[in-house]
Amino acid sequence: AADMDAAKTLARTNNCFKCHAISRDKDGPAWNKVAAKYKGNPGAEAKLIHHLTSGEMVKLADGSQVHHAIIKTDPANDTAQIKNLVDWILSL
Amino acid sequence: GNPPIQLPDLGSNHAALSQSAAETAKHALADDAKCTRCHDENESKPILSIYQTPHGVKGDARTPTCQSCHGASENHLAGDKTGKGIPPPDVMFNKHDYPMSEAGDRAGVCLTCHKGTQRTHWDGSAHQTNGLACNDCHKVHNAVDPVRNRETQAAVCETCHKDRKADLLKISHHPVGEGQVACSDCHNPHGSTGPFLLKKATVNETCTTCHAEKRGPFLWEHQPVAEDCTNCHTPHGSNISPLLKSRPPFLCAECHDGPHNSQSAFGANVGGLQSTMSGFAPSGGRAPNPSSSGAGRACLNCHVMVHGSNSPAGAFLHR
Amino acid sequence: QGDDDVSILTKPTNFVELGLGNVPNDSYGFGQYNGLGRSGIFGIGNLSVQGGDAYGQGLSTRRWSIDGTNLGTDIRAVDASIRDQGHWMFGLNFTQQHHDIADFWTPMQGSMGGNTFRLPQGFGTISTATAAVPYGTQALTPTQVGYFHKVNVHTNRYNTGVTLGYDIDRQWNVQLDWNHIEQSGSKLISSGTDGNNKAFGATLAGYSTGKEAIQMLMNPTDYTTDNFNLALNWAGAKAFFTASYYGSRFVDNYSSVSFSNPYSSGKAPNGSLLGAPYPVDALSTPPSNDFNQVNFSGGYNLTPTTHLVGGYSYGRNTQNMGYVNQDQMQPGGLPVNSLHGKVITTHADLKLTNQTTRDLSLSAGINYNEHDNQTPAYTYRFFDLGSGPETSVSIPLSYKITEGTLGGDYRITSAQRLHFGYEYKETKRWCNSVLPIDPATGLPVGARVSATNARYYQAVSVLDCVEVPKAEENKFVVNYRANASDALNFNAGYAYSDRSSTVNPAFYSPLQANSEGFENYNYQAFFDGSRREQLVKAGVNYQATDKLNLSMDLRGTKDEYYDSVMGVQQGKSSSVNLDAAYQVSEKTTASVYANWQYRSRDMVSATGRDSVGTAGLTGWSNNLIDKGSAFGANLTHGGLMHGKLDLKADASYSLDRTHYNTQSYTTAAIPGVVCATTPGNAGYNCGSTPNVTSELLRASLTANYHIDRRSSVTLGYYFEKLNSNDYYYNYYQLRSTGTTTMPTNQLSPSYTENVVFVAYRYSFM
Ligand code: HEC
Ligand code: HEC
Ligand code: HEC
Ligand code: HEC
Ligand code: HEC
Ligand code: HEC
Ligand code: HEC
Ligand code: HEC
Ligand code: HEC
Ligand code: HEC
Ligand code: HEC
Repeated sequence: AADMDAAKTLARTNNCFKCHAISRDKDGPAWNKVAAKYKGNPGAEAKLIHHLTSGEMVKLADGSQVHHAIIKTDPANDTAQIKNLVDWILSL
Repeated sequence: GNPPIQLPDLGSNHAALSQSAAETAKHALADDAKCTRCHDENESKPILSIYQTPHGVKGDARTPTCQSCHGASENHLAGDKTGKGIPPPDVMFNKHDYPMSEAGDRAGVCLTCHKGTQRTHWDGSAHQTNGLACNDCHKVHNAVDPVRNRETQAAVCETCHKDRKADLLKISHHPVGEGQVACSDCHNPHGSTGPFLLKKATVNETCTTCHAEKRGPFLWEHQPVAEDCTNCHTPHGSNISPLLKSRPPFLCAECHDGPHNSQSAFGANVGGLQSTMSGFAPSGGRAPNPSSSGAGRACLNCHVMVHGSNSPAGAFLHR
Repeated sequence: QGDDDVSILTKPTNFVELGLGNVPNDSYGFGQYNGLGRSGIFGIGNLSVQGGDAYGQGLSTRRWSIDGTNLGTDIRAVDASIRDQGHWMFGLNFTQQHHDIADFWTPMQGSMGGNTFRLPQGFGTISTATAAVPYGTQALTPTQVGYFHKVNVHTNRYNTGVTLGYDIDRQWNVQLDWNHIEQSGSKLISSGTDGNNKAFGATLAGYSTGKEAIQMLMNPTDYTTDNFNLALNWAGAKAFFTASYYGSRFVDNYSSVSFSNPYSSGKAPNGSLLGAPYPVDALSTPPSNDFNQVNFSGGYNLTPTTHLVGGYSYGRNTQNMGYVNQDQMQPGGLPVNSLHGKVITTHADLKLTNQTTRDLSLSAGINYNEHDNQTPAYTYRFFDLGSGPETSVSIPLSYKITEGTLGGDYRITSAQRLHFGYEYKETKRWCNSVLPIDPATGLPVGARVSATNARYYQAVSVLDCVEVPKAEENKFVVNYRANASDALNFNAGYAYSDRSSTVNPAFYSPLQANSEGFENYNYQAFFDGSRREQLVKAGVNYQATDKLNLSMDLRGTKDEYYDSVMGVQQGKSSSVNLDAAYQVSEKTTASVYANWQYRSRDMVSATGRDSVGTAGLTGWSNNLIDKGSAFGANLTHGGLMHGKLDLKADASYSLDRTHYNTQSYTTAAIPGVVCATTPGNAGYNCGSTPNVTSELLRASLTANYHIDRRSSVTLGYYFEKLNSNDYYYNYYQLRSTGTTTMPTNQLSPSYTENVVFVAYRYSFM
């Protein structure tokens, strides 16, 4: 299972929660909706890791298009931390 | 000078006044939502806990919205328009990603609502002139503000006043660490007309709120008592009980030269019995050693009413 | 889950906590203030319950709360309040405070908290044999010693408070606070009474009065204090104002403490023979008194950057409790039956502050306090301890203090600031009630003039009741603050003040009818005397990394009494603090601190009296040194066992030492005290006193285990050890007292305690 505390801390330090909440849509979709969307999808983890590291274009609630935030870890590019966050999101 | 920061008008003509509490609350929550839209339960600091405090009683039209304290922050609300990151809100109380606002601006925000009463003497007070602002002590987003809680207050003050922390460990001390007396029982940290930020105009008026039996006026006064308790006592902690600056007879000798017993030196003899040559001996030429004037309670063996006496047979503070 | 997270933040978490702990050893020192009383099991009871529709971003304005802390101990507290915020509030609180003062042994019968103490019937009289050692109380018989029993002397304060607030509208508010304190129990007090035989006088080195018989008593504190404050507050856009009434009423339910004289029990009844010892003597207790005060304060913003605040208060402190009736001690009766004591206190202040630019702010203020004692003075004749009838005149003292301050803050650069201040302070003292002068002596009625002391009053032309009727003090302050960088802050300050006192050469206290107060050449009490005072301080704070903070500060003071040839000469103090805090991780923090303090006082005293010079006096110096150090460390480590376990460890150590050193500095022609450095017949009055030491070690470890969201268990261990050594207690041990002093066998409160406790907390929303 994912380490919830570590996942939340990483999300907080990256300001993810300014646009996401766990069970409520903000500028970005609620993460439990994301989890529901990918339920049973074996490629979900890889897709989301890519999403968080590539800066894909996303549409905000006001309709504007921005690059999605690229996640930062300490130490840099620690995939294990990102994987943990994604696993947690998918478990919601 | 710089123009003062513009805050939303919350004066008596504010529309909120004519509304019911529920309507007022709905409006205020909608105002807050401009910020809580992003700053919600997932913040690393418990931002929403402010709703547990009096500031969070939104039906009370006097309470602040996020913008009352942090400023209208239009640029911040507009978001990252330049790609260089979101501009800061107007008032920053701490230094994290953005620089902190000046103390005067931070305090100024709070003082728009909290002027007067306890804070009448904030301007020019020791804390104000040393660059403190309200949020150096108050945590407004915490459910319970540690500085307002009697058990945790001293720890807040002691972050700066470290001698006081050591004083409270001394064998004689006011029970501050035990949560029974708070720093703010004696001090008004917001400024006062008394010395050392004392709550009342004088030391004695402060002490006698709890030690009213020392207030007098007495028939036989003791001048240093009538003038200032700290002539003899140190308020926070002392190695000499009870909170004395010095042990009698040396304490008394700081002011008394002439009368009988202070005309003799008291040295090691106050430490107790050193020889068998003790006792009052009318003829044998033996001195009581140690003497009742220097040992134990020393002068207070006889001058028992140091704080003043009301007995008509009690001059010399004897009865 | 999101909603749940929101309500955890916006709604209060209520809890009830119950538990038990154990204190293994009985020690009054450990129980001094912690309410744990004596050894054995104690209960842990805490609760906090809040409610009301205004929580959780609710739309109403109502809230209520009940909090209880330390319910299982003698320092329990309960707080309850209900309010409709913006309209009204009502709060009630109750606190018990416990002070364990001493374990003490006495032969006296009478309970702690009572006001009569008698020697037991069979006690007999104390040996007054003087031909062989030991004498007096040093020769108590086994039967007499058998009467000694232990009493735990302590006080309790029961503090009840009521608060009422009413918001009339957005601008007006009324606030009422009433606080009722009941203090009961006892403190220790000494008592002197006549010795056995007036003819025996030991007029020797170190001892020159009568034969007072000294014993300690449990002085009852049966006090009630009511403090009452009613305030009306107003705040508008540019101004604010508060008018309030403060009343404080103190009632002592006892007016005296009576006790047997251990040297004369069973002898002549009171009053049958004037001048003979009293079999039953009495002490007064603090008189009931009232203080009523009206206060006004307010402020006005002349411009957005120029503010004026000011205040005025007028108070009356009255005391008119009937004197304890001790006819037999008052030859010739009493001039009045009660004091008619009245002190008017007046306070006024005004302060103007201006911050026209961000670079400069200025302030100017005045502050005035007056203590006008309108109590009438009378002459009282009474039998004093160990001496014949005295005639003393009461001297109600008045004083007023006027202060003026100027201050400025200048921003040198955005990172540097300078604060400067100037203060002027004037103190004036006088007496309203002037005494009649006896034409025969030129001195106040009743003053005893003898051949030996006449010399000191020959030159007296004006009689006055205070030594220093006027003192003026000038003080200068500079403080500098700089942020050397984002991470490095620095501050330094210096203050200099000079008080110059005008001494009244004709000072003569009529109370000092026999042995006088201050009459040696250029002797001044330190609080009155001319003084130069300096203070330096400096501090650095270094945020080494995001996680590590270091700080250090230093402080030193020096005061010199430059006009005092005798008395306190100078004093010094200094302190150093070091602190480090390290945020190991989000849930783990560690910090350490260290503190050192040093204080010294130097005094010069002399035997004999001389108003013209120090020549011919035998003098000595006293030096007092106080040293303290304290160290502490604490560690909190959370989030163990998947967030279920939090650990907390705290440790502190402090060591304080005080000692006095007496040195002979001159030997005179007039035979006086011989400053002896070894024990012997003549006393042992030079050299150092044994250190007064107290060493306190505390350590605690608590583990908090969260069973689930509602339940948690705390397991704790608390260690406290006090080593104290105080020469004070030597004197009161059986057979070590002066012969005229009853032993108390009190001991220095050293102890070692290992307290374990366990508590269960149930939390709910
Ligand atoms: C500026 C706003 C913003 C920030 C900051 C932000 N996101 Fe998003 N995120 C969005 C939006 C908008 C979407 C919706 C994309 C879409 O469905 O088109 C999204 C989608 C997602 C998704 C779902 C992607 C998918 O394929 O459905 C995940 C997971 C996610 N974000 C995680 C994060 C994490 C982790 C962070 C912090 C590093 C973060 N977001 C920061 C706005 C943001
Ligand atoms: C669009 C989302 C959004 C809105 C709306 C918003 N903020 Fe922010 N706020 C942020 C982000 C993102 C950050 C962090 C910026 C950074 O770290 O660079 C931030 C930072 C802050 C900070 C500094 C926090 C710190 O730890 O230093 C404060 C204070 C703040 N905002 C207050 C407000 C207030 C008050 C409002 C409403 C007037 C508001 N914000 C509205 C997104 C928002
Ligand atoms: C009464 C004034 C006041 C109100 C109202 C207020 N804040 Fe704050 N805010 C502060 C202060 C002061 C701080 C500094 C930290 C503290 O005191 O707890 C702060 C800190 C913050 C921070 C950053 C955390 C930090 O440690 O610096 C954010 C984000 C924030 N507030 C957002 C908000 C939001 C969102 C609201 C509305 C729900 C709000 N504030 C309402 C005074 C206020
Ligand atoms: C717009 C008005 C407003 C502003 C701005 C404001 N406050 Fe308040 N504050 C209030 C009101 C209203 C109350 C509740 C008063 C009452 O108890 O009736 C309150 C209560 C408080 C209390 C008492 C809380 C308690 O637990 O009883 C504190 C402390 C406080 N404020 C501090 C601050 C600080 C610090 C700031 C600035 C960071 C600030 N306030 C800014 C309106 C304001
Ligand atoms: C040095 C610490 C400190 C600073 C700085 C400080 N306060 Fe306080 N404040 C306290 C303490 C302690 C109390 C509790 C006082 C008491 O219980 O009597 C308090 C109480 C309060 C209260 C609640 C009591 C009341 O009067 O209603 C308010 C409001 C308040 N402060 C506002 C402010 C404002 C506004 C500022 C800045 C101008 C400020 N404080 C600066 C320590 C501080
Ligand atoms: C019993 C009343 C009382 C309590 C409680 C009390 N003080 Fe004081 N304090 C005083 C008095 C009186 C003075 C001025 C006289 C002195 O220190 O000699 C003073 C002075 C001070 C000073 C200035 C001393 C100097 O030398 O500059 C500081 C700082 C201070 N107190 C902080 C605190 C702190 C922090 C607490 C709580 C831990 C506290 N006080 C609790 C009565 C009290
Ligand atoms: C953020 C640091 C800080 C905190 C927290 C703080 N103080 Fe202070 N305090 C100062 C500074 C700086 C001074 C002035 C410099 C000095 O002399 O130490 C000062 C001075 C004082 C003085 C002496 C005033 C005088 O006239 O000399 C008192 C009394 C005092 N503080 C009491 C308190 C109490 C009570 C609290 C807690 C309610 C508190 N302080 C919290 C920084 C602080
Ligand atoms: C808020 C109430 C309060 C104020 C104000 C207060 N005290 Fe106390 N004081 C207490 C309490 C409570 C105790 C401990 C219980 C007792 O002895 O009654 C105490 C105890 C003492 C003791 C005995 C200490 C011992 O070791 O036995 C002395 C001496 C003392 N106070 C002096 C002062 C002086 C001097 C002042 C003013 C600077 C002062 N107090 C102001 C509440 C107060
Ligand atoms: C001349 C020196 C002196 C002055 C001035 C003085 N005291 Fe004391 N005080 C003592 C001594 C000595 C003791 C210990 C003797 C005793 O317990 O009676 C003491 C004991 C106390 C105690 C603890 C014992 C008790 O009676 O509760 C309190 C409380 C106290 N003083 C308060 C005050 C207050 C309040 C003032 C100012 C109004 C004051 N003192 C002024 C010398 C002084
Ligand atoms: C801070 C200075 C100071 C200290 C310390 C001090 N006194 Fe006094 N004392 C005075 C002053 C001033 C007077 C009144 C002036 C006078 O009449 O001599 C006085 C008067 C007296 C009197 C009344 C007789 C008289 O001469 O008026 C006695 C008795 C007395 N003190 C005993 C003591 C004892 C015992 C102690 C130690 C607990 C003590 N004093 C500590 C300053 C002090
Ligand atoms: C054994 C009892 C006893 C002790 C101990 C004692 N005195 Fe006295 N004291 C008296 C008596 C009796 C008087 C009144 C008559 C006299 O002067 O002999 C007195 C008077 C005084 C006076 C007032 C003198 C006057 O006439 O104005 C002062 C001041 C004084 N003592 C100070 C002290 C000091 C200081 C000590 C401790 C060094 C001390 N006393 C110890 C019994 C004692």
